[in-house]
Amino acid sequence: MDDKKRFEDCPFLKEKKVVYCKAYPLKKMLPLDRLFEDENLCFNKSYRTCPIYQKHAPETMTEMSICYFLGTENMLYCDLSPVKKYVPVYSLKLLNPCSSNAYRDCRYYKEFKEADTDTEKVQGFIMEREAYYCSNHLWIKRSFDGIKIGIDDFGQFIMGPIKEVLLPEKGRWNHPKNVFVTLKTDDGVVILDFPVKGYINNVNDAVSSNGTLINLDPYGDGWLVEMVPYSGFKSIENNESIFYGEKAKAWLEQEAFKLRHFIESEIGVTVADGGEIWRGLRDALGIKGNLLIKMFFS
Amino acid sequence: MIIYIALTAELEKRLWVKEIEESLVRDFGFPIRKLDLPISPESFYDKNRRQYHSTSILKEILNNTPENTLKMVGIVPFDLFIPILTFVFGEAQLNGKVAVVSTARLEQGYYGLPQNHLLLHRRLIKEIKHELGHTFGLLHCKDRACVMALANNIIDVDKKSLNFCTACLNLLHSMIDKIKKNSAK
Ligand code: SF4
Ligand code: SF4
Ligand SMILES: [Zn+2]
Ligand SMILES: [Zn+2]
Repeated sequence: MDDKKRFEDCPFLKEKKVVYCKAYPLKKMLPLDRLFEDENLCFNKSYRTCPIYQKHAPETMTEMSICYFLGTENMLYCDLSPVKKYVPVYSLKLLNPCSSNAYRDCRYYKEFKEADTDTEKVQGFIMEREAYYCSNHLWIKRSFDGIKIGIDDFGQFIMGPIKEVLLPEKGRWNHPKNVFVTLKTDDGVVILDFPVKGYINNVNDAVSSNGTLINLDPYGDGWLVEMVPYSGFKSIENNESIFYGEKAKAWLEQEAFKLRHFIESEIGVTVADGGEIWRGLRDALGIKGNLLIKMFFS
Repeated sequence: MIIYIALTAELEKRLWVKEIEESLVRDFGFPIRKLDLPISPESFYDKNRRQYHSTSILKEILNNTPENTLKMVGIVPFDLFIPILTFVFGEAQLNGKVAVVSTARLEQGYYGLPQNHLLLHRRLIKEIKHELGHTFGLLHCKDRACVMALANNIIDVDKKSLNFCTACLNLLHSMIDKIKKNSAK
Protein backbone atom coordinates (compact mmCIF):
# COMPACT_ATOMS: atom_id res chain seq x y z
CA MET A 1 0.00 0.00 0.00
CA ASP A 2 1.50 3.34 -0.86
CA ASP A 3 1.75 5.94 1.82
CA LYS A 4 -0.48 8.45 0.14
CA LYS A 5 -3.41 6.11 0.37
CA ARG A 6 -2.54 5.14 3.84
CA PHE A 7 -2.89 8.63 5.16
CA GLU A 8 -5.94 9.61 3.25
CA ASP A 9 -8.46 11.38 5.52
CA CYS A 10 -11.94 10.11 6.10
CA PRO A 11 -14.30 12.15 3.94
CA PHE A 12 -16.45 12.79 7.00
CA LEU A 13 -13.68 14.31 8.98
CA LYS A 14 -14.51 17.99 9.01
CA GLU A 15 -12.58 20.98 10.16
CA LYS A 16 -14.18 23.95 11.80
CA LYS A 17 -13.10 27.09 13.55
CA VAL A 18 -14.45 27.18 17.04
CA VAL A 19 -14.39 29.84 19.70
CA TYR A 20 -14.12 29.58 23.40
CA CYS A 21 -13.83 31.77 26.40
CA LYS A 22 -10.33 31.81 27.79
CA ALA A 23 -11.51 33.18 31.09
CA TYR A 24 -14.20 30.61 31.66
CA PRO A 25 -12.89 27.64 33.67
CA LEU A 26 -14.46 25.09 31.35
CA LYS A 27 -13.08 25.14 27.87
CA LYS A 28 -16.32 24.81 26.02
CA MET A 29 -16.03 24.95 22.28
CA LEU A 30 -18.59 26.69 20.15
CA PRO A 31 -18.51 26.44 16.41
CA LEU A 32 -18.07 29.88 14.99
CA ASP A 33 -20.78 29.69 12.40
CA ARG A 34 -23.37 28.72 14.96
CA LEU A 35 -23.12 31.88 16.98
CA PHE A 36 -25.02 34.96 16.03
CA GLU A 37 -22.41 37.50 16.40
CA ASP A 38 -24.65 40.42 17.32
CA GLU A 39 -26.50 38.47 19.92
CA ASN A 40 -23.43 37.26 21.65
CA LEU A 41 -21.81 39.70 23.94
CA CYS A 42 -18.34 38.25 23.41
CA PHE A 43 -18.29 39.62 19.87
CA ASN A 44 -19.11 43.22 20.53
CA LYS A 45 -18.49 45.93 22.98
CA SER A 46 -21.01 44.66 25.44
CA TYR A 47 -18.43 42.10 26.52
CA ARG A 48 -17.73 44.60 29.26
CA THR A 49 -21.02 43.72 30.87
CA CYS A 50 -20.10 40.05 31.02
CA PRO A 51 -19.68 38.88 34.63
CA ILE A 52 -16.86 36.57 33.66
CA TYR A 53 -15.07 39.39 31.96
CA GLN A 54 -15.55 41.68 34.91
CA LYS A 55 -14.17 39.07 37.25
CA HIS A 56 -11.04 38.34 35.26
CA ALA A 57 -10.18 41.48 33.39
CA PRO A 58 -7.17 43.44 34.61
CA GLU A 59 -8.01 46.92 35.75
CA THR A 60 -6.20 48.77 33.05
CA MET A 61 -7.71 47.27 30.00
CA THR A 62 -8.00 49.15 26.76
CA GLU A 63 -11.30 48.91 25.05
CA MET A 64 -11.52 46.37 22.21
CA SER A 65 -14.17 45.59 19.65
CA ILE A 66 -14.45 42.01 20.77
CA CYS A 67 -13.69 40.48 24.11
CA TYR A 68 -10.07 40.04 24.98
CA PHE A 69 -10.78 36.55 26.35
CA LEU A 70 -12.28 35.24 23.19
CA GLY A 71 -10.09 32.43 21.85
CA THR A 72 -10.34 30.61 18.55
CA GLU A 73 -8.96 27.29 17.52
CA ASN A 74 -9.18 24.95 14.54
CA MET A 75 -10.99 21.83 15.47
CA LEU A 76 -11.82 18.58 13.80
CA TYR A 77 -15.01 16.66 14.23
CA CYS A 78 -16.78 13.70 12.75
CA ASP A 79 -19.72 14.72 10.64
CA LEU A 80 -21.38 11.36 11.19
CA SER A 81 -20.97 10.72 14.85
CA PRO A 82 -24.21 11.44 16.72
CA VAL A 83 -22.38 13.49 19.31
CA LYS A 84 -20.41 16.32 17.83
CA LYS A 85 -17.16 16.27 19.66
CA TYR A 86 -14.65 18.84 18.71
CA VAL A 87 -11.03 17.95 19.07
CA PRO A 88 -8.06 20.13 18.30
CA VAL A 89 -6.55 19.52 14.88
CA TYR A 90 -3.25 18.31 16.22
CA SER A 91 -4.65 15.65 18.53
CA LEU A 92 -6.84 13.95 15.97
CA LYS A 93 -4.10 13.95 13.42
CA LEU A 94 -2.07 11.85 15.78
CA LEU A 95 -4.03 8.74 16.51
CA ASN A 96 -7.31 8.24 14.88
CA PRO A 97 -8.79 6.19 12.12
CA CYS A 98 -10.23 9.43 10.79
CA SER A 99 -6.94 10.57 9.38
CA SER A 100 -5.74 7.31 7.92
CA ASN A 101 -7.23 4.77 5.60
CA ALA A 102 -8.45 2.86 8.64
CA TYR A 103 -11.52 5.08 8.48
CA ARG A 104 -13.02 2.49 6.17
CA ASP A 105 -13.34 0.23 9.17
CA CYS A 106 -14.89 2.90 11.34
CA ARG A 107 -18.37 2.11 12.57
CA TYR A 108 -19.85 5.47 11.69
CA TYR A 109 -18.30 5.46 8.28
CA LYS A 110 -19.52 1.98 7.52
CA GLU A 111 -23.02 2.59 8.77
CA PHE A 112 -23.26 5.71 6.71
CA LYS A 113 -21.92 4.06 3.59
CA GLU A 114 -24.42 1.29 3.93
CA ALA A 115 -27.37 3.48 4.69
CA ASP A 116 -26.45 5.92 1.98
CA THR A 117 -26.39 3.58 -0.98
CA ASP A 118 -28.91 1.20 -2.44
CA THR A 119 -26.48 -1.65 -2.17
CA GLU A 120 -24.61 -3.39 0.54
CA LYS A 121 -22.07 -6.14 0.74
CA VAL A 122 -22.65 -9.44 2.45
CA GLN A 123 -19.43 -11.40 2.86
CA GLY A 124 -18.07 -9.53 -0.12
CA PHE A 125 -21.10 -10.03 -2.37
CA ILE A 126 -23.22 -7.11 -3.48
CA MET A 127 -26.91 -7.03 -2.67
CA GLU A 128 -29.42 -4.45 -3.73
CA ARG A 129 -31.66 -3.36 -0.91
CA GLU A 130 -34.84 -3.01 -2.86
CA ALA A 131 -34.58 -6.43 -4.49
CA TYR A 132 -36.25 -9.68 -3.51
CA TYR A 133 -34.09 -12.78 -3.75
CA CYS A 134 -35.06 -16.30 -4.81
CA SER A 135 -33.14 -19.28 -3.53
CA ASN A 136 -31.83 -19.93 -7.05
CA HIS A 137 -30.15 -16.50 -7.04
CA LEU A 138 -32.62 -14.68 -9.20
CA TRP A 139 -33.51 -11.22 -8.02
CA ILE A 140 -36.86 -9.53 -8.46
CA LYS A 141 -37.46 -5.81 -8.47
CA ARG A 142 -40.67 -3.91 -9.00
CA SER A 143 -40.84 -2.28 -12.40
CA PHE A 144 -43.22 0.12 -14.05
CA ASP A 145 -46.00 -2.33 -14.72
CA GLY A 146 -44.80 -5.54 -13.16
CA ILE A 147 -41.47 -7.00 -12.13
CA LYS A 148 -37.96 -7.15 -13.44
CA ILE A 149 -35.89 -10.28 -12.98
CA GLY A 150 -32.14 -10.83 -13.05
CA ILE A 151 -29.34 -12.86 -11.51
CA ASP A 152 -27.71 -11.76 -8.29
CA ASP A 153 -24.04 -11.05 -7.78
CA PHE A 154 -23.37 -14.28 -5.95
CA GLY A 155 -25.11 -16.26 -8.69
CA GLN A 156 -23.03 -14.76 -11.47
CA PHE A 157 -19.88 -15.33 -9.45
CA ILE A 158 -20.67 -19.03 -9.05
CA MET A 159 -21.42 -19.44 -12.74
CA GLY A 160 -18.33 -17.61 -13.92
CA PRO A 161 -18.27 -16.00 -17.36
CA ILE A 162 -21.66 -16.47 -18.98
CA LYS A 163 -21.30 -17.41 -22.62
CA GLU A 164 -24.85 -17.80 -23.84
CA VAL A 165 -28.24 -16.79 -22.57
CA LEU A 166 -31.55 -18.20 -23.76
CA LEU A 167 -34.38 -16.02 -22.58
CA PRO A 168 -38.04 -16.95 -22.74
CA GLU A 169 -39.95 -15.38 -25.60
CA LYS A 170 -42.29 -12.53 -25.07
CA GLY A 171 -45.40 -14.41 -24.06
CA ARG A 172 -49.14 -13.95 -24.10
CA TRP A 173 -51.59 -13.70 -21.26
CA ASN A 174 -53.55 -16.76 -22.16
CA HIS A 175 -50.63 -19.17 -22.20
CA PRO A 176 -49.39 -19.44 -18.69
CA LYS A 177 -46.32 -21.59 -18.76
CA ASN A 178 -43.54 -22.25 -16.40
CA VAL A 179 -40.89 -19.84 -17.57
CA PHE A 180 -37.17 -20.15 -17.18
CA VAL A 181 -33.83 -18.92 -18.45
CA THR A 182 -30.99 -21.11 -19.71
CA LEU A 183 -27.41 -19.98 -19.22
CA LYS A 184 -24.35 -21.59 -20.75
CA THR A 185 -20.99 -21.27 -19.04
CA ASP A 186 -17.62 -22.97 -19.44
CA ASP A 187 -18.51 -25.16 -16.51
CA GLY A 188 -21.92 -26.29 -17.63
CA VAL A 189 -25.46 -25.26 -18.28
CA VAL A 190 -27.63 -23.65 -15.64
CA ILE A 191 -31.40 -23.53 -15.90
CA LEU A 192 -33.17 -21.12 -13.60
CA ASP A 193 -36.92 -21.32 -13.13
CA PHE A 194 -38.66 -18.05 -12.58
CA PRO A 195 -40.46 -18.01 -9.29
CA VAL A 196 -43.80 -16.84 -10.65
CA LYS A 197 -45.85 -17.34 -13.76
CA GLY A 198 -46.94 -14.43 -15.83
CA TYR A 199 -46.82 -12.49 -19.00
CA ILE A 200 -43.36 -11.71 -20.33
CA ASN A 201 -43.66 -8.22 -21.67
CA ASN A 202 -40.02 -7.45 -22.23
CA VAL A 203 -36.71 -9.29 -22.60
CA ASN A 204 -33.21 -7.89 -22.48
CA ASP A 205 -31.88 -8.48 -25.97
CA ALA A 206 -28.50 -7.06 -25.07
CA VAL A 207 -27.99 -9.92 -22.64
CA SER A 208 -28.95 -12.62 -25.13
CA SER A 209 -26.13 -11.53 -27.38
CA ASN A 210 -23.67 -10.76 -24.61
CA GLY A 211 -23.95 -12.85 -21.45
CA THR A 212 -21.02 -11.19 -19.73
CA LEU A 213 -23.28 -8.21 -19.13
CA ILE A 214 -24.69 -10.31 -16.33
CA ASN A 215 -21.22 -10.78 -14.88
CA LEU A 216 -20.39 -7.13 -15.20
CA ASP A 217 -23.58 -5.50 -13.99
CA PRO A 218 -25.89 -8.12 -12.52
CA TYR A 219 -28.41 -5.65 -11.08
CA GLY A 220 -28.27 -3.16 -13.91
CA ASP A 221 -27.57 -3.80 -17.58
CA GLY A 222 -27.54 -7.53 -16.93
CA TRP A 223 -31.28 -7.80 -16.20
CA LEU A 224 -33.12 -10.63 -17.94
CA VAL A 225 -36.83 -10.07 -18.39
CA GLU A 226 -39.71 -7.91 -17.36
CA MET A 227 -42.96 -9.65 -16.64
CA VAL A 228 -46.41 -9.19 -15.19
CA PRO A 229 -47.01 -11.92 -12.64
CA TYR A 230 -50.43 -13.54 -12.87
CA SER A 231 -51.13 -13.20 -9.24
CA GLY A 232 -49.63 -9.78 -8.73
CA PHE A 233 -46.78 -8.66 -6.53
CA LYS A 234 -48.43 -10.14 -3.46
CA SER A 235 -47.49 -13.58 -4.75
CA ILE A 236 -43.87 -12.57 -4.41
CA GLU A 237 -44.17 -10.91 -1.03
CA ASN A 238 -46.02 -13.90 0.36
CA ASN A 239 -43.73 -16.51 -1.12
CA GLU A 240 -41.75 -18.08 1.70
CA SER A 241 -38.80 -19.01 -0.46
CA ILE A 242 -38.31 -15.46 -1.68
CA PHE A 243 -36.25 -13.37 0.69
CA TYR A 244 -36.19 -9.68 1.36
CA GLY A 245 -34.30 -7.33 3.67
CA GLU A 246 -32.75 -8.88 6.75
CA LYS A 247 -33.92 -12.34 5.73
CA ALA A 248 -32.22 -11.97 2.37
CA LYS A 249 -29.02 -10.89 4.08
CA ALA A 250 -29.06 -13.88 6.41
CA TRP A 251 -29.74 -16.19 3.51
CA LEU A 252 -26.88 -14.83 1.41
CA GLU A 253 -24.57 -15.04 4.37
CA GLN A 254 -25.38 -18.74 4.63
CA GLU A 255 -24.68 -19.19 0.94
CA ALA A 256 -21.33 -17.45 1.33
CA PHE A 257 -20.42 -19.68 4.26
CA LYS A 258 -21.38 -22.70 2.22
CA LEU A 259 -19.04 -21.50 -0.50
CA ARG A 260 -16.29 -20.85 1.96
CA HIS A 261 -16.56 -24.26 3.50
CA PHE A 262 -16.73 -25.95 0.14
CA ILE A 263 -13.50 -24.37 -0.99
CA GLU A 264 -11.81 -24.85 2.34
CA SER A 265 -12.56 -28.54 2.25
CA GLU A 266 -11.30 -28.68 -1.34
CA ILE A 267 -7.98 -27.43 -0.08
CA GLY A 268 -7.76 -29.45 3.12
CA VAL A 269 -9.33 -29.26 6.50
CA THR A 270 -8.10 -25.99 7.88
CA VAL A 271 -10.03 -23.04 9.20
CA ALA A 272 -9.02 -19.53 8.42
CA ASP A 273 -9.94 -16.19 9.88
CA GLY A 274 -9.79 -13.13 7.80
CA GLY A 275 -11.18 -10.87 5.16
CA GLU A 276 -13.80 -11.29 2.53
CA ILE A 277 -14.11 -13.82 -0.24
CA TRP A 278 -11.58 -12.92 -2.88
CA ARG A 279 -13.15 -12.21 -6.25
CA GLY A 280 -10.18 -13.33 -8.32
CA LEU A 281 -10.69 -16.77 -6.87
CA ARG A 282 -12.22 -18.63 -9.79
CA ASP A 283 -9.42 -17.86 -12.21
CA ALA A 284 -6.55 -18.10 -9.82
CA LEU A 285 -7.53 -21.33 -8.26
CA GLY A 286 -8.81 -23.18 -11.28
CA ILE A 287 -11.56 -24.01 -8.88
CA LYS A 288 -13.82 -26.79 -10.02
CA GLY A 289 -16.57 -24.62 -11.40
CA ASN A 290 -18.80 -27.51 -12.33
CA LEU A 291 -18.90 -28.59 -8.69
CA LEU A 292 -19.73 -25.08 -7.59
CA ILE A 293 -22.58 -24.89 -10.08
CA LYS A 294 -23.89 -28.23 -8.94
CA MET A 295 -23.75 -27.16 -5.36
CA PHE A 296 -25.67 -23.91 -5.77
CA PHE A 297 -27.94 -24.56 -8.72
CA SER A 298 -29.36 -28.02 -8.31
CA MET B 1 3.41 -32.81 25.62
CA ILE B 2 4.14 -29.22 24.85
CA ILE B 3 2.43 -26.34 23.14
CA TYR B 4 5.06 -24.55 21.10
CA ILE B 5 5.00 -20.92 20.10
CA ALA B 6 7.34 -20.65 17.16
CA LEU B 7 8.49 -17.18 16.16
CA THR B 8 10.63 -15.76 13.43
CA ALA B 9 13.86 -14.22 14.70
CA GLU B 10 12.66 -10.69 14.03
CA LEU B 11 9.45 -11.15 16.01
CA GLU B 12 11.24 -12.84 18.85
CA LYS B 13 13.18 -9.67 19.39
CA ARG B 14 10.14 -7.41 19.29
CA LEU B 15 7.47 -9.34 21.12
CA TRP B 16 6.95 -9.87 24.82
CA VAL B 17 7.17 -13.62 24.53
CA LYS B 18 7.05 -14.30 28.28
CA GLU B 19 3.79 -12.42 28.63
CA ILE B 20 2.30 -14.26 25.70
CA GLU B 21 3.29 -17.60 27.19
CA GLU B 22 1.82 -16.70 30.55
CA SER B 23 -1.48 -15.64 29.08
CA LEU B 24 -1.85 -19.02 27.39
CA VAL B 25 -0.96 -21.36 30.23
CA ARG B 26 -4.13 -20.73 32.19
CA ASP B 27 -6.54 -21.65 29.40
CA PHE B 28 -4.71 -24.55 27.85
CA GLY B 29 -3.15 -26.29 30.83
CA PHE B 30 -0.09 -27.61 29.02
CA PRO B 31 3.44 -26.28 29.25
CA ILE B 32 4.09 -23.51 26.71
CA ARG B 33 7.55 -23.15 25.15
CA LYS B 34 8.92 -20.84 22.58
CA LEU B 35 10.84 -22.03 19.58
CA ASP B 36 12.61 -20.54 16.57
CA LEU B 37 10.71 -20.62 13.35
CA PRO B 38 13.38 -20.80 10.69
CA ILE B 39 11.37 -20.17 7.55
CA SER B 40 12.34 -18.26 4.47
CA PRO B 41 9.37 -16.18 3.42
CA GLU B 42 10.35 -15.95 -0.26
CA SER B 43 9.18 -19.45 -0.98
CA PHE B 44 5.66 -18.60 0.22
CA TYR B 45 5.33 -15.31 -1.57
CA ASP B 46 2.67 -14.99 -4.23
CA LYS B 47 3.50 -12.35 -6.80
CA ASN B 48 -0.07 -11.83 -7.93
CA ARG B 49 -1.51 -11.43 -4.49
CA ARG B 50 1.59 -9.74 -3.06
CA GLN B 51 0.97 -11.71 0.09
CA TYR B 52 2.21 -14.93 1.62
CA HIS B 53 0.36 -18.18 1.26
CA SER B 54 -0.88 -19.20 4.65
CA THR B 55 -1.58 -22.88 4.02
CA SER B 56 1.93 -23.53 2.66
CA ILE B 57 3.41 -21.93 5.73
CA LEU B 58 1.15 -24.13 7.82
CA LYS B 59 2.60 -27.19 6.09
CA GLU B 60 6.11 -25.93 6.68
CA ILE B 61 5.35 -25.50 10.36
CA LEU B 62 4.00 -29.02 10.48
CA ASN B 63 7.31 -30.25 9.08
CA ASN B 64 9.17 -28.52 11.87
CA THR B 65 7.35 -29.87 14.91
CA PRO B 66 9.52 -31.51 17.56
CA GLU B 67 8.71 -35.04 18.73
CA ASN B 68 6.87 -33.96 21.89
CA THR B 69 4.62 -31.42 20.19
CA LEU B 70 1.01 -31.33 21.25
CA LYS B 71 0.26 -28.15 19.31
CA MET B 72 2.43 -25.60 17.59
CA VAL B 73 1.52 -22.05 16.59
CA GLY B 74 3.80 -20.25 14.19
CA ILE B 75 3.84 -16.47 14.43
CA VAL B 76 4.97 -14.58 11.37
CA PRO B 77 5.20 -10.92 10.46
CA PHE B 78 4.03 -11.23 6.85
CA ASP B 79 0.58 -10.57 5.47
CA LEU B 80 -1.07 -13.92 4.85
CA PHE B 81 -3.74 -15.03 2.43
CA ILE B 82 -5.55 -18.12 1.32
CA PRO B 83 -6.87 -18.20 -2.21
CA ILE B 84 -10.49 -17.67 -1.26
CA LEU B 85 -10.00 -14.75 1.12
CA THR B 86 -8.60 -11.29 0.67
CA PHE B 87 -6.35 -11.90 3.67
CA VAL B 88 -6.20 -13.99 6.82
CA PHE B 89 -5.24 -13.16 10.38
CA GLY B 90 -4.49 -16.82 10.92
CA GLU B 91 -5.23 -20.35 9.90
CA ALA B 92 -5.35 -23.62 11.79
CA GLN B 93 -5.77 -27.31 11.27
CA LEU B 94 -9.12 -28.11 12.77
CA ASN B 95 -8.52 -30.68 15.47
CA GLY B 96 -4.94 -30.91 14.29
CA LYS B 97 -1.48 -29.98 15.37
CA VAL B 98 -0.51 -26.67 13.90
CA ALA B 99 -1.69 -23.12 13.37
CA VAL B 100 -0.25 -19.90 12.05
CA VAL B 101 -0.92 -16.29 13.05
CA SER B 102 0.20 -13.17 11.25
CA THR B 103 1.04 -9.98 13.10
CA ALA B 104 0.91 -7.89 9.91
CA ARG B 105 -2.66 -6.66 10.25
CA LEU B 106 -2.60 -6.61 14.01
CA GLU B 107 -0.18 -3.70 13.96
CA GLN B 108 -1.58 -0.19 14.19
CA GLY B 109 1.05 0.80 11.67
CA TYR B 110 -0.73 -1.23 9.03
CA TYR B 111 -3.65 1.18 9.29
CA GLY B 112 -1.45 4.22 9.20
CA LEU B 113 -1.58 4.71 12.96
CA PRO B 114 1.23 5.05 15.46
CA GLN B 115 2.50 1.77 16.84
CA ASN B 116 0.82 0.51 19.97
CA HIS B 117 2.70 -2.38 21.45
CA LEU B 118 0.17 -3.16 24.12
CA LEU B 119 -2.69 -3.29 21.65
CA LEU B 120 -0.62 -5.46 19.33
CA HIS B 121 -0.14 -7.95 22.13
CA ARG B 122 -3.78 -7.99 23.10
CA ARG B 123 -4.72 -8.70 19.52
CA LEU B 124 -2.01 -11.28 19.10
CA ILE B 125 -2.99 -13.18 22.22
CA LYS B 126 -6.60 -13.24 21.02
CA GLU B 127 -5.56 -14.63 17.66
CA ILE B 128 -3.20 -17.22 19.14
CA LYS B 129 -5.91 -18.41 21.52
CA HIS B 130 -8.41 -18.47 18.69
CA GLU B 131 -6.23 -20.55 16.37
CA LEU B 132 -5.16 -22.85 19.20
CA GLY B 133 -8.85 -23.28 19.94
CA HIS B 134 -9.32 -24.55 16.39
CA THR B 135 -6.50 -27.05 16.81
CA PHE B 136 -8.40 -28.38 19.83
CA GLY B 137 -11.44 -28.81 17.61
CA LEU B 138 -13.36 -25.66 18.51
CA LEU B 139 -15.42 -24.03 15.79
CA HIS B 140 -16.45 -20.42 15.43
CA CYS B 141 -18.60 -19.11 18.21
CA LYS B 142 -21.70 -16.96 17.72
CA ASP B 143 -20.93 -15.03 20.89
CA ARG B 144 -19.30 -11.86 19.57
CA ALA B 145 -17.33 -11.39 22.76
CA CYS B 146 -15.92 -14.91 22.79
CA VAL B 147 -12.38 -15.28 21.58
CA MET B 148 -13.63 -17.97 19.18
CA ALA B 149 -15.80 -15.49 17.28
CA LEU B 150 -14.87 -15.15 13.63
CA ALA B 151 -13.10 -11.90 12.81
CA ASN B 152 -13.39 -10.46 9.33
CA ASN B 153 -11.54 -7.29 10.15
CA ILE B 154 -9.51 -5.63 12.87
CA ILE B 155 -12.59 -4.06 14.44
CA ASP B 156 -13.98 -7.55 15.00
CA VAL B 157 -10.71 -8.56 16.62
CA ASP B 158 -10.83 -5.57 18.94
CA LYS B 159 -14.45 -6.18 19.76
CA LYS B 160 -13.96 -9.66 21.12
CA SER B 161 -12.52 -10.31 24.53
CA LEU B 162 -9.40 -12.23 25.46
CA ASN B 163 -11.52 -15.03 26.90
CA PHE B 164 -13.43 -18.07 25.83
CA CYS B 165 -17.14 -17.95 26.59
CA THR B 166 -18.36 -20.54 29.07
CA ALA B 167 -19.57 -22.90 26.37
CA CYS B 168 -16.30 -22.81 24.45
CA LEU B 169 -14.26 -23.07 27.61
CA ASN B 170 -16.15 -26.18 28.70
CA LEU B 171 -15.64 -27.71 25.30
CA LEU B 172 -11.96 -26.86 25.36
CA HIS B 173 -11.51 -28.37 28.81
CA SER B 174 -13.26 -31.57 27.84
CA MET B 175 -10.93 -31.85 24.84
CA ILE B 176 -7.93 -31.23 27.06
CA ASP B 177 -9.13 -33.82 29.58
CA LYS B 178 -9.53 -36.36 26.82
CA ILE B 179 -5.99 -35.76 25.62
CA LYS B 180 -4.62 -36.03 29.14
CA LYS B 181 -6.49 -39.26 29.81
CA ASN B 182 -5.35 -40.82 26.58
CA SER B 183 -1.74 -39.99 27.21
CA ALA B 184 -1.90 -41.35 30.76
CA LYS B 185 -2.85 -44.76 29.43
S1 SF4 C 1 -17.52 38.11 26.97
FE1 SF4 C 1 -15.42 37.52 27.20
S2 SF4 C 1 -15.23 36.84 29.27
FE2 SF4 C 1 -17.40 36.91 28.82
S3 SF4 C 1 -17.86 34.84 28.12
FE3 SF4 C 1 -17.41 36.02 26.30
S4 SF4 C 1 -15.23 35.66 25.98
FE4 SF4 C 1 -15.65 35.05 28.06
S1 SF4 D 1 -15.29 8.83 13.33
FE1 SF4 D 1 -15.36 7.51 11.54
S2 SF4 D 1 -16.77 8.47 10.11
FE2 SF4 D 1 -16.21 9.99 11.66
S3 SF4 D 1 -14.49 11.09 10.76
FE3 SF4 D 1 -13.65 9.46 11.99
S4 SF4 D 1 -13.38 7.75 10.59
FE4 SF4 D 1 -14.75 9.20 9.60
ZN1 LIG E 1 -11.36 -19.07 13.37
ZN1 LIG F 1 -17.55 -19.13 22.52
